[in-house]
Amino acid sequence: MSSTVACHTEPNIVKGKQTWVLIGPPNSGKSSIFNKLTGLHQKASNFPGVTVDVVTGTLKGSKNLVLSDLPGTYSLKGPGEEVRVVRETLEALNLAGVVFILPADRLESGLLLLEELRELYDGKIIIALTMVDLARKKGIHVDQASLEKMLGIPVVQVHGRTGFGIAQLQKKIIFENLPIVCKNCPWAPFEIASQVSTRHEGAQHTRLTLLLDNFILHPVLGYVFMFLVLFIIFQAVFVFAEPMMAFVENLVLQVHLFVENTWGRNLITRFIGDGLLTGIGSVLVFVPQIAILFFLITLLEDTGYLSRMSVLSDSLFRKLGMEGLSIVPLLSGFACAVPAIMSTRIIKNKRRRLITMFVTPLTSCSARLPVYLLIVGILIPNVYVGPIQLQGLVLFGIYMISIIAVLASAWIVNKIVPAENDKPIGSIIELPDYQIPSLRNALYSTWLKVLIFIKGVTKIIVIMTIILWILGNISIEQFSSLADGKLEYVEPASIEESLLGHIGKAIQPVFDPIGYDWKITVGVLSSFAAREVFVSTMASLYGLMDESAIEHLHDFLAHDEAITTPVLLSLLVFYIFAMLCMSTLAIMKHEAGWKMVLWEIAYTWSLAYLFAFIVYKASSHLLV
Amino acid sequence: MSPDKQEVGILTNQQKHKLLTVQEIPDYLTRQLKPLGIYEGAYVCILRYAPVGGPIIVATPTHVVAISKDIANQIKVRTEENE
Repeated sequence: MSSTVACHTEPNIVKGKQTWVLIGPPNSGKSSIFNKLTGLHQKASNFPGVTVDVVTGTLKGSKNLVLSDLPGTYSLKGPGEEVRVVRETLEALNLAGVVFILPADRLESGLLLLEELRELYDGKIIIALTMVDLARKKGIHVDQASLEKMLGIPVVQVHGRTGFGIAQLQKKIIFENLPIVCKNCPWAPFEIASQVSTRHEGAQHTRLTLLLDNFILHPVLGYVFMFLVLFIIFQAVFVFAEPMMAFVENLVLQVHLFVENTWGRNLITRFIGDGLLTGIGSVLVFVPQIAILFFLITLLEDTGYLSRMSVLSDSLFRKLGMEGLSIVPLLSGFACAVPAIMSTRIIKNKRRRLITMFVTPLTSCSARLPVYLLIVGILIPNVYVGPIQLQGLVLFGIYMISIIAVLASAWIVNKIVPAENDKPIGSIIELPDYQIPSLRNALYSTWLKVLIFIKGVTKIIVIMTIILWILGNISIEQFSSLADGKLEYVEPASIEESLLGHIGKAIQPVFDPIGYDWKITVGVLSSFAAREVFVSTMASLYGLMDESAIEHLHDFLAHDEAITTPVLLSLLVFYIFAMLCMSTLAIMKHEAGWKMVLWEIAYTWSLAYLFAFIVYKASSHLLV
Repeated sequence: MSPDKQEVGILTNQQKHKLLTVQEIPDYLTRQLKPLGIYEGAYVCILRYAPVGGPIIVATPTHVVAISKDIANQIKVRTEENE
């Protein structure tokens, strides 16, 4: 399942310019300092074969200095994607210098990393001393002057959220003639730390953190709070994104109308409107969800809560080859798999991330709901059994099946796919102090994720939308006359005459064992645009043209003799399991490569086909 | 400190809030744990056990770290009876 996509042959470092990199341990305030130093002009790039982003920006106040924010790590040796990225950057590039982020409250671990850095790198280093206020709260005092003297490296005290010291750091990077760090001078990190800092006993956490953890890691209250947080995330992605998505859809529609009003309604404008613009619209429509999800995740990460969440849900997900944080993508998946798959980035371990990503499309996303509602509406009478509405009960059952499918699939994949080594794959999670998050940092990070998404999936989604449009709107005769260069006005073909209709009829035998006629087959194929498209495709197959007529689709399907109860059950089961959405496919390709996408389609379609077959045969047998 | 009353055991089974000395760590974990203040000879203490079989939350002189049980099982510590 591993990915080996080479996006770039080397990290995104601008040629002809001087490059500085930011290196430091996790939770040291590195990203917010990077954001302060560079501003909005950032770019993210993937290293070949890894999923860790390296963010690059131009240093404010200088056009020729490029700054790269390397992933936070405790060590430059050993396995791990972050480690590889940092080490390869250091070895491969002719760096102008390193800004080393040293958290004052954890000097020892910072200095250990600095020691490893000196073994690999012998250029200029500036130390940005962060977390000084936090250290003070913990009763730790760092003597900046003697630190500077003992290390022989200039030290600037900075504060990421307020911006204190940033100007000084900037000046030092641009102007100062820095000493080259001595590579072979012996030094002992722990000794230096103890000589330049004073600390009280038991100063690992602030009083506030100790107090909050009593509540947040509480066996009962901790879970209550966690579910509250998850509920807010889910609501935000599901509900708050709705008006923004409607706005995007409306905007695309207006441009579409404008194009048709200006140049008339012909094949070309329909191609631009229904193919191209719809494709761009299907990319933009995910932006609100992605923005909201990543904004909340970054805030939670910066407060220090995310690692607690990981601790609380670790034991369950660990058994399934995932980890505590898998709960965030899996839950978001019930709103939409696209932001959910992107949010697996919070899982740093590659294997656990890929397993989480693999099972995420099995969560029942909101786009499947119209299909469920249509089928359940025909199958199940709108009656109450006691206080329970029967249709609602069946819908609940569908979601339960989806949850079971997610957990069981993760369990299976975890058993089948060999681990990288036979060592226990337990977790080591640092619990940082609680901190006030920086709004600006969260906004920067959100903006960057949105850019990564748009850049990563637009091409493939637009191309696939256009292909689907051509297949669904052009008949074979029109296609051959177009090929002859005749571009006169032609009405789009009906779906039955279209290429898609022909394909549907041609491959219908494949779906015959699970009971689908060619119309349903075409409906299933058209779901690749988005699952809810099934409903409108079926509507137009039954000759229902305008939107309101979709309500009558229920009656049409209910009275069509080809559409029996076993067929509907089989269709319902197929939609619970199958990955049928090109946007999910596109983001998965971007995050993990084609191989993963092919596995995903193979797995979910086999599962869907198998269960649809069982349900179809069993119900046909029982109901006749 | 008298060595006669020392007890060696795995990190998983220790009491909360008791001072422990790290005795032995498997090689492949050293690099991950040292920056967090867990290395041979270091003092650690268990702050709490996460609910439902979750990780063990350990305080080191510099950090607070949650360690899952399968890893904690491999860390040998000794208790000092006469602190």
